Amino acid sequence: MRRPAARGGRGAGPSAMILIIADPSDTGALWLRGALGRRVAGPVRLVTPAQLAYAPSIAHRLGGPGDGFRFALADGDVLTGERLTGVVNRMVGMPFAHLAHAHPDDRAYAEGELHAFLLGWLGSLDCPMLNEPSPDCLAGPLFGEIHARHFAALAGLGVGAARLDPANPSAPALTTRPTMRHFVLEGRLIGPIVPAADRDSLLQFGRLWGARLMQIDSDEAGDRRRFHAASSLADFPSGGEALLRAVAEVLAR
Amino acid sequence: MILIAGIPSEAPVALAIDAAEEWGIAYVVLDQRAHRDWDLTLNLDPHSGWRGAMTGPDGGAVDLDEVTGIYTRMMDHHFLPAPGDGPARPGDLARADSFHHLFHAWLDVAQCRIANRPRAMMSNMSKSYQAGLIARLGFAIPETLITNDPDAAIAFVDRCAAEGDEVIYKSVSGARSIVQSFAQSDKARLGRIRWCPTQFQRKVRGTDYRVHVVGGRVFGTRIESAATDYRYAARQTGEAAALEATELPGRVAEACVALAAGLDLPFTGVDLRRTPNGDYVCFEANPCPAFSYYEDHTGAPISRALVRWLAGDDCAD
Amino acid sequence: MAKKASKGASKGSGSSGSGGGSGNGGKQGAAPPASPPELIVVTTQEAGLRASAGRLESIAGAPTDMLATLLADTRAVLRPLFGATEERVLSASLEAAASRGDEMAPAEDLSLFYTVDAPPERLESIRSDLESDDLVAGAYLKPGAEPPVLNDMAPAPQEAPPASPDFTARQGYLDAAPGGVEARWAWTQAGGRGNGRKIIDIEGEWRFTHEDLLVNQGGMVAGNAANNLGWRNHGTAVVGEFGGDVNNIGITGISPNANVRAISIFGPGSAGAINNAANRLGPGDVLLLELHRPGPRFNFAQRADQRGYIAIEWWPDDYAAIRNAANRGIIVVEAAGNGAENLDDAIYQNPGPGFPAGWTNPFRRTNRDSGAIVVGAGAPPPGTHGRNHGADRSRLDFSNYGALVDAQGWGREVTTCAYGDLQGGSNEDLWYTDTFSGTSSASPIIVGVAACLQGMAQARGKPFLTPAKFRACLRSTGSPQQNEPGRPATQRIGNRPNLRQLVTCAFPKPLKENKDVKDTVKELKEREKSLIKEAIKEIKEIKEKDFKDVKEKELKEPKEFKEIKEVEKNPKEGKELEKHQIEKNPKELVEKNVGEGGIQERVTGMGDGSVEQRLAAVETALGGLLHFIGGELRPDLSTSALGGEARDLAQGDADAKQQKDIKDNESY
Repeated sequence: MRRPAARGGRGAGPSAMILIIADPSDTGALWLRGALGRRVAGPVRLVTPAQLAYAPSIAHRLGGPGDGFRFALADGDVLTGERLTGVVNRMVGMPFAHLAHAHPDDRAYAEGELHAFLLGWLGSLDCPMLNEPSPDCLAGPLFGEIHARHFAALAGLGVGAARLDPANPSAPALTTRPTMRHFVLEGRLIGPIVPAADRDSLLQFGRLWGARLMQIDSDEAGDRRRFHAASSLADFPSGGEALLRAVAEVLAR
Repeated sequence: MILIAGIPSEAPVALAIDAAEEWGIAYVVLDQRAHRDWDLTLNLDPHSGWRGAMTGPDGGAVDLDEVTGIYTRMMDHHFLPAPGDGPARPGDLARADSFHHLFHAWLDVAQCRIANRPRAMMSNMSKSYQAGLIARLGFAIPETLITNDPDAAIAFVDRCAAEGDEVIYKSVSGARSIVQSFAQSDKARLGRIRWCPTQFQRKVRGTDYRVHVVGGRVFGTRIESAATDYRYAARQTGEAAALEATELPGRVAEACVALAAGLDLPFTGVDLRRTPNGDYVCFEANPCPAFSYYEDHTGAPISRALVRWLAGDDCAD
Repeated sequence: MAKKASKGASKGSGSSGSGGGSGNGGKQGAAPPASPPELIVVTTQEAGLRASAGRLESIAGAPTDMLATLLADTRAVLRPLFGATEERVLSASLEAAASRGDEMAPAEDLSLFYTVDAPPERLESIRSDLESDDLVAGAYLKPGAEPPVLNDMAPAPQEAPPASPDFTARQGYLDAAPGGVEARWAWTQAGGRGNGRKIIDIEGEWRFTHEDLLVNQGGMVAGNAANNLGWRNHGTAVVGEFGGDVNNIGITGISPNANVRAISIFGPGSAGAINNAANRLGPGDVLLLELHRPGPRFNFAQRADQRGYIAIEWWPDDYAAIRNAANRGIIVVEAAGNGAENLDDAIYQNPGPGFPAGWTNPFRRTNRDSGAIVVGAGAPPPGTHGRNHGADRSRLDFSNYGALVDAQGWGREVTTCAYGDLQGGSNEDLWYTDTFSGTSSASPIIVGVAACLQGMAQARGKPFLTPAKFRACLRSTGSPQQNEPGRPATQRIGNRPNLRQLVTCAFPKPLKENKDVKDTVKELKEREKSLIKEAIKEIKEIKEKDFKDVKEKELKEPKEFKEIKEVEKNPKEGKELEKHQIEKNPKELVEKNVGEGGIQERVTGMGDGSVEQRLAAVETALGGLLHFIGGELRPDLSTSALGGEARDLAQGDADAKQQKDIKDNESY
């Protein structure tokens, strides 16, 4: 279920902050942090999943007057929702090294608890997120090829024929390479200009996919745009200035 | 025709099968224990997406396009009892994985009524995540603190105590725990939360209700028990809980229907508590409700409503 | 055009002008003829033009008839600049996106660039017609490129001796700083000869049969040779500076173990050549642009004295190709040009005629940054080869200068292959020169330095330097530029590199919190490690306290057993069951019990076991951290329960059914 776009004017002003949650090896997110930092007035803060999970003090409150969250991080910084105008959520994995010290019976349970906490906390943020978490992946919906091809067919994108059964549960991969990448951000199509019908198909695909920002790779097959791959984890640098501009608009309003 | 998938001898599944029989609704049962004897094929139509077909152990073909509704109460297939004929063959697990993967993926995309879609059910893997959704859909939720900070937990407990309320603690994840009240002696153990954030909740005083939503219909059950967690009443208090069918106020019934729709869980078991001043607080929406327990104790025709809804019949009784 | 090798007045001679680079050009010593001018077209994003594979259409449905008519009338052919078809250009871009280096600026859309094949005399009129077409964002004429050369050396008449002498001692640029770049020191370091690295030089022609260029080279791999001695001498001299073989004859290159190849701009054009080269290189490799072009100072006119000539990134297609190469982690070394120009001048802020709207001046990196290393020409130490060109490391009069010039190389007295003034005769393969000059001779020195440094990075197991990192180190280390009357150091050409200092900059000793590098990947990872260490320390404390607490409780209340679950159900079998418990896994000896208002963990199954035995059981059980919500509050609803569920239900066991029915959640 998608939450509506955030109300405007919230946290506006020079102290408004954009938060990026990403693993240290997520170079795309690190690049975005620099590029966004040059573009928006307020600070762009990067925090890693480990910093969050190992924070000395974590408090997430809901259902009462003091709704919200507070992380007191190990480096002394305090993270709350007050100044947040937007979040880039790239938390694909969860830090669990410390869970090796749990009692074996409790280990799986603790993993489940930590994951559930992160899902609930991320889900509670009420500023625009790229992307909102999904139960199947903290960083946004994670669809396999069956769902993806289904959306593609419904959206009017070309899909190769496929027949699956328990002995052959995977469809053959396309032999051609994709030639275009588009992004769908809040119902807007960003990327190379394509004919109107293709444009509508790509937008419809994005709607079915359901993430606030997602990317679609495609090529041309005859007169139809043919689907190759899609992901909720956008490769920001490949989106160029246009994507950067649009992302800054969404996260800094 | 409707499809019922699960373990046929399990009470909720058995009730659904009985109801379909009784109402003359054509149905097929996919006995999960016999999944090896079923075949499933998905063909990708370039315009309308996947179209499925199944073949059962008796060789009967099921065109999934003709199925109007599916009730699924499948368990993790890794825990299915092994077939009677000895140890599993090497290819068996792979086939079981593939079959269930395809079936669940198809349940997500099929264009018929499904109680419930696997993706939608996953929201229950985090109570706080689901609580956030429930709150956004308009229900009051209990005041909750999830923390790894013993000081924060103690402050919360003390504040609630000053206002005359107890605090309970329970799992955040889908691995549910028996709800337990926080006692003074528990303060000494609070150090343990430092390595794993734990959920504390202000105990809502009032009467437990369980509302089963089937499409647009609701079936309310009122529960009386002295236990903190009525599901384990016998263990906690020595006495079983007392259940009674009940009508809910219109706005509450509507809110439950809207909640179920908002969560994409057309068949849901909503746990509510009615406070002394008449407010309804929602604890949880169960995506795979064990409704048979409630139907057996109250006579509510939940299974009937379910199979009729799956067959496309929305009429009130 | 030529300047005399010695310091003094310039003299114009030789041919100039646009068009044609074919045939044996001019007299010896004349400037090599420029490459043909290029008419570059930039289409609009919205057009989605497809002008390849026999098509001329707009996939957005815009009308292309005007364009088609124009091209037909003028018999001009429009083709994509960076690949055979737009699809292939886009596909290659997507692949490059996958192998993106750390140096990431937004990708330039290469599919919008086209070149027009048409007779040179018609290019300007075609250009102005194209500019007014709706599908066209910009159409501009690039004057031909020339190698930045001031050399008119003629080969000495006498034939070369049977074996060439060793001229390496004359290559002062190899020596210790401040006169040289410390190449001889780098050769003593692992990887310090450019081992494993790849270099591609982009200009017009080379003599790869030269006796001192036989090893570690792959020849010309794309484009057509210019077929002109001037271009050929130039390319050979350039390659010798970094690629000269290690032997006891002739010269020795700065990075002789790097693999050297070449691409000619004749055919693909300069931008096409750059992109072709970029497709063959990756992080740790070097691309050299040995070209400059007439700029707006003298209205883009070819000049004998090359005054007003500037670095080629000023033109949009070259900029795009350079930027995309840098984005892939390739170090692009670009000659600043011999135009004696101040590249900070406001004249460069104005777009050239036909540039697409939105173009900004890359000479000011605050506008946009090609990512290239721009190289100026500085004087060698006075007395080199017995001649004096001004203070060591002062700007040479012809060298362009400005804020964007990153480093300087020797712009005079460079000993290398070709030309034949040092050793001549009739066989080009044996020619050497003592006086190779220009930003031409300066840039290859930076190339050699880059290759040595990247070779050392690889040998040390470090990641390759990104273009940005290399540029930052060049600017913050080295032997500084010096003043010379009329050419103050404020006319910036940068420092002469010093490899010893570059190594310290590139591979600093760890630790010391530097605010600038705080947020790099390495820093973040190290921070993670210490976070985990801290967390584990805390966990150990919790564990010990836990153990202490349980131990205390155990000692205080040794015998308060409540009935366990099974005992409840089967009181008769209680004792037998307890007995069975003893045989079980010690873990299971920790029986949980739930009462009103609290959890109490008990060790059971020991009957009247001693305190020591019970403690031992607790220790075994407490093999790890316990969750605040103990296992006793988590009914075991996994394997055994589910397996038993089906069985129990089949038996119609009411109790089991009640237990089961309250399990609401199937495992997903």
